[in-house]
Amino acid sequence: MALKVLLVEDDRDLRQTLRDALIVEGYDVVASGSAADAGAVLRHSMGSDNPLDLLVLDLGLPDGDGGDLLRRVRAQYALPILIISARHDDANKVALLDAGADDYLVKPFSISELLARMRVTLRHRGTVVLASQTQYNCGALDVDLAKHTVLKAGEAVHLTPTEFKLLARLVRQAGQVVTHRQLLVDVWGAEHVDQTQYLRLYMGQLRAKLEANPTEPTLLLTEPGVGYRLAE
Amino acid sequence: MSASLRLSSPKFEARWPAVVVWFCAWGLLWGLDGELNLGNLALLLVLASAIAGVWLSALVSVMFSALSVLMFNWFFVEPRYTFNVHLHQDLLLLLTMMGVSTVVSYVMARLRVLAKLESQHAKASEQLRKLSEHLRETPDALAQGRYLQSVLSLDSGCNATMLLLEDDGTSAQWLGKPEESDEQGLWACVKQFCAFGPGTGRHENQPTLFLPLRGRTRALGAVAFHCDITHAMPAYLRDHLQHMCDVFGLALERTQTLRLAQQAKDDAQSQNLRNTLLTSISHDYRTPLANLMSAASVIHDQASRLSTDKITGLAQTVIDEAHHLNRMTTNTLQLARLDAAPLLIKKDWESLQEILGSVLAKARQRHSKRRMVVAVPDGLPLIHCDAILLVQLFDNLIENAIKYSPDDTPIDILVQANSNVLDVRVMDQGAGITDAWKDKVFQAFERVHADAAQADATDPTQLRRGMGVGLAVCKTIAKVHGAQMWVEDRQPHGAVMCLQLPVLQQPDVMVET
Repeated sequence: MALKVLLVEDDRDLRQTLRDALIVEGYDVVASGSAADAGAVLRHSMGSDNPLDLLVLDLGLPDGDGGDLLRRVRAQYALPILIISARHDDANKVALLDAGADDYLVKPFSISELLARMRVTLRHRGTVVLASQTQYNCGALDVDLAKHTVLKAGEAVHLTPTEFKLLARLVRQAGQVVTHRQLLVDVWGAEHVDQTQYLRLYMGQLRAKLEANPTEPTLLLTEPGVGYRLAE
Repeated sequence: MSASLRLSSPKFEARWPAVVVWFCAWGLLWGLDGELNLGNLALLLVLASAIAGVWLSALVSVMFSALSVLMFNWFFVEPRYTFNVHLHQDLLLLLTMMGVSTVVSYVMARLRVLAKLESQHAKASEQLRKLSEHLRETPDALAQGRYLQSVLSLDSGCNATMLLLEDDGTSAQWLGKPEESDEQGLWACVKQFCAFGPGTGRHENQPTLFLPLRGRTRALGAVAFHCDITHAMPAYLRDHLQHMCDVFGLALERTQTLRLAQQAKDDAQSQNLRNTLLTSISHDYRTPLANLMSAASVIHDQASRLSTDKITGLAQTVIDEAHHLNRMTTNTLQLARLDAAPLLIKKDWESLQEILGSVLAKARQRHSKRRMVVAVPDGLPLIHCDAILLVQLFDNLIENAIKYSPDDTPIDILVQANSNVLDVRVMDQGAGITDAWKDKVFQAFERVHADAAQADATDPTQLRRGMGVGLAVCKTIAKVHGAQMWVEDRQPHGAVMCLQLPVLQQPDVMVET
């Protein structure tokens, strides 16, 4: 059965374009223009036989900033959420990612970017309740969290405990953005939540050990102002 | 400050030395009776009367002197124990004693008054000084007004209510609740720019005293003193209250002038900004919009007759021009935002290597065929900046370098750490920028041909089209980070965009071993 996506976007033309494009890609799309309407759709469909698989949520809806909707969804359902934000919504976007949204896209974006993000988000669907990803392979890098091994081109790489924790946190959500706050809290602890300098330093060390060219990384990608993303 | 200041008698507590003096004098008189003749004894009395006058008021002094003369007459003048007076002798004594003691006590009373005035002046100047200081330290006019109101109430012993005129000159803020009649009085006081009420020469018989808060040419508010004793208020106190009101009035006028000047400056700036935005839309947006429109309309109208490749190519034009418009919009909006609120940016500790890395990743995606040579040393210090703004800055520099140099030449990006600064250079091998334009390229919408229609596309200067806002926003971003930006020449030809970022004291990081 086709994957069911709820698309919440207040601009009618953009909603129509995205809806058509997603239908062409084989998704079952429910489109909605307001937070209230989206809430009704959620209530109705999440209890039915054919629940939603993904929520694509635009910030800056006429009847709310999407934040309330996100928190409601997060409190009730294990539904992955992809945020679409305009450029000026930077702060709001990061707050929603911190609050549990899975990933984001900044307008304007191409349909291929949207599809790629949706694929990653859907692949991680269920990580909230099921075991998250423990193995990662991309390019020359192999990571097995269970066995605690990191191989670069087949050679074992020695990581310090913190470097490993940082890498492991990214591996669990490979392909998705992980915010500075999430990384700092999960790797260093809640009391270090403002100390981004730790992230910069350890990310630099990780890149020096794992990347061919640390200045232009292909695996440990930077999302300026938001966080980091492990490429797939 | 006490209310009355006539040639008043000293307080009772201050009179006891006079009593002592009189007792001593009489003691001496009794003791020296028989030793000295009557004339010398009488001199003793004159002396006592003069000394006692220091502590006594004129009236009491005269009374004491008269009493003394009578007693002297009774006890010492022959025939003793009678009031039989040899008038021609003792009357002179009596008059001398009275005269001397009156003069002494009058002079002393004058001195006391002067001393008191002196101390009141000192107190008043001290209070004015404190008031000015307080006005300087408190920026808010309402808070200043409340402070003055409390001082005035305390000093006058009256209920002081205040009217503060707003900038528009017709509406007002009230401090304290004025009586209805006072409200009119306050307005009249402001409009006529003079004081009303008891002691001012205007509307003498009404109970409330109105004082204006005087600026140089007009009143900026007024104060009403509402109580029963305004009629008894001494002139010096009224003057003092008026002085304090004037100090506040002048301070209000000064801040108002500054505010108006700032407002005028802001207006000019926003006018400037509006012009910038208008120029941006009229000059830089039209070309990409025209390209977009033609490509989209060709797809729309002729799709059935076009090859798939052709349609893909046209769609690519639409995407490219949309990107171009997006970049210009982001730049223009950022310029407007930083211009309006340069202090609202959110800085954090960032790695220059990471920022350049993410910019380069996007640039390589867009220009996959272009060669970019990057040299960033390891172990650079962290910089305290807004990552999104710096991304925009480098993105603009690299995009400009790509746009204004031949496709087959590489772009070089070089980072160097020097003492307390990080130097970033973005170098192209294009035509370069002439000396006359090295500063101007950073100003929004400066162009070699002010009239865009005058320049045609083959003119190399026209290649600078659209460069204005990109570099202007770079310069503004550099400025809010305390960084320097300038252009250098590259040999044999080309431009070098230089950015020098300050390196601050690095944050503490505990490194595991």
